[in-house]
Amino acid sequence: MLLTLLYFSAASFGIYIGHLMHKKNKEIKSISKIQIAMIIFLISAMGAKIGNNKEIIDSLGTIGLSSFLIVSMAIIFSIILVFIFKRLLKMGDGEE
Amino acid sequence: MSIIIVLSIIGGGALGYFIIPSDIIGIFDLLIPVGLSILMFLCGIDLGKQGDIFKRIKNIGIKAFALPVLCVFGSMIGGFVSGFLISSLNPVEGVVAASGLGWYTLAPFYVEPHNLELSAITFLTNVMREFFGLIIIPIVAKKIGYLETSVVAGAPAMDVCLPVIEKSTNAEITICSFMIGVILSAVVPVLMPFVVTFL
Repeated sequence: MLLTLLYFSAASFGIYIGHLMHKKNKEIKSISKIQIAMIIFLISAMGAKIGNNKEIIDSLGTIGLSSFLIVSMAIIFSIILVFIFKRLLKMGDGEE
Repeated sequence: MSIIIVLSIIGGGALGYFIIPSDIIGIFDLLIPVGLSILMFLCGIDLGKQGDIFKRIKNIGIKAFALPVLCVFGSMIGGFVSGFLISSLNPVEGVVAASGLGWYTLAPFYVEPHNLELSAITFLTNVMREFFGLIIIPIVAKKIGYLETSVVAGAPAMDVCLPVIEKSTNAEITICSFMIGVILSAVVPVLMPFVVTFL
């Protein structure tokens, strides 16, 4: 809960700063590069945590396939339902 | 973007498995929230720079409520179907594992008192949902549509997967995904106790 609040606050503060930059026509060119670097760091860190957990790694062989099938089906059917919903309501993908 | 993410997962996983000692790995429990906060701040700047943020929130409308419902039903249907494909599971167990909606630090604990092996499957399923979400969101955005990206990861759409959604889609879908992730995060603690009663 606290973490959710932290992320929401960080995003909200960022929106405020971005809004100020928009009003004053200011630009920070390196934001995109920093974002990609942070994404790489975060995903690597998460991967490292999982890799360090021997119990999870050892169980990948036995229950990994079951989990893979379940998550694949869950994602596929979620996408299918949204796809149908979008077509039925003639919905677009939002403004650019 | 997907290739970068796959390489990051593999690289990080290898580092964690072969190199980083167990007594140091705990530092990531601090670094990950700090890093994610910085990333959320930067995503916020991107969103704020586009102007008219409240107009975009208004434009989202019915999508913000309809999409979480579709994600829940899609996940449960997928879990049900997978129960027929896996010989060691039944459809109810598939539904239970899928109902975690990507929240791997919460969902397994509802299952553990009933079935230890299923709680491990629930944990792995939802870890995979977050990781696969990161990898396939850019592909779904390109090949299927932006709106569909918001239901790929489930609850992690509001934090871990949000930066990838933001890079792959547009401002409206990013805000929509955040709202969907928040709603799904509220759904999991209600859905999980309900579905485990059928075990």
